[in-house]
Amino acid sequence: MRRAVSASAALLAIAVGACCSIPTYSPAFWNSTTQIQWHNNCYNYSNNKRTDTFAQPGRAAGAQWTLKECNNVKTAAIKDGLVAVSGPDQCPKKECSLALVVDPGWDYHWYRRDTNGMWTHKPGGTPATNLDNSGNPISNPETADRGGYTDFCGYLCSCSNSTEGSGHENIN
Amino acid sequence: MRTSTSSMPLALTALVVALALAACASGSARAADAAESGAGQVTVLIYSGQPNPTFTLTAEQAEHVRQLVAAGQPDPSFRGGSVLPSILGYNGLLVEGGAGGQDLAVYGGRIEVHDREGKRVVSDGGALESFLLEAAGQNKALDAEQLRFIQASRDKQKS
Repeated sequence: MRRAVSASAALLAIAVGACCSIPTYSPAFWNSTTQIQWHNNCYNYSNNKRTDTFAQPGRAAGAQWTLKECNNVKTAAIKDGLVAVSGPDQCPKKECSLALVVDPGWDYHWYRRDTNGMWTHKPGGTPATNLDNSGNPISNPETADRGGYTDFCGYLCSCSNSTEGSGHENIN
Repeated sequence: MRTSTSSMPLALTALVVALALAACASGSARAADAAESGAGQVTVLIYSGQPNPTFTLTAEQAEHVRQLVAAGQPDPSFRGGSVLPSILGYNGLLVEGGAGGQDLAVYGGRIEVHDREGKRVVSDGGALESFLLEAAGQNKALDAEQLRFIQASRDKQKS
């Protein structure tokens, strides 16, 4: 019994106690196979976590978003463990800043900020990129060309990882 | 008895992990079914966050897809990593589990073919993209708003 409890505790420590770190822009992982590229979306990429399920905010917590508007999607992401903050520089030092935007009534989208301070994203099943809809690098997601995703919803913090696809947030 | 009691936490952990893996796998289940039948599951890429519309090709449609891919001309000029544009908006279509185990990405007159031989890109002048969008309409996979959105994107692309 003691050994079983120790093993469970060790697993828990690995799952919960792992250190957060900010990722570098390394799109090769996300674009390497059709399974990864086609089945991981902006929420997977921004949290730096591969699930192959087109992860949805709140689904892992049993509280998935229900409306395609800022507060609803943000609340669902918070249920997953993300933390809302007032600005892009408000996350704890080792946590990754994410930005949420919405095309009202149509869809939502996420960006992440990498170690170089620039923002990158993965539009749905397409390749990860560091460019906006106009082909420009993204220094500020609030002013980037976001197509129809005109509502800027704010910033959240995610416990990411320096290894691509291995973020620590519980999303699915 | 003592053994079974002491292994309970590990058994529960294993059960939780198994359930999580099963949930992860469900996203690809329809594609796997389509692959088994050889018909192919089509995904229309219009959303970044929420799941995209999907439908399964009929046998007749799948055969036409196969013919259109076979008729495509090699496109050595293509230099990008993927034919799918990394932009917010309409991004093309995917066909998974098609004839011969082919997976396809389709956009802007190009077809990215993934099969046992690897990856290649062929040009078809947009014939497959148009056919798949028409099939999506026939299969009622897209509503009127989604069809208008795609049409507007394609018109913008042409202009």
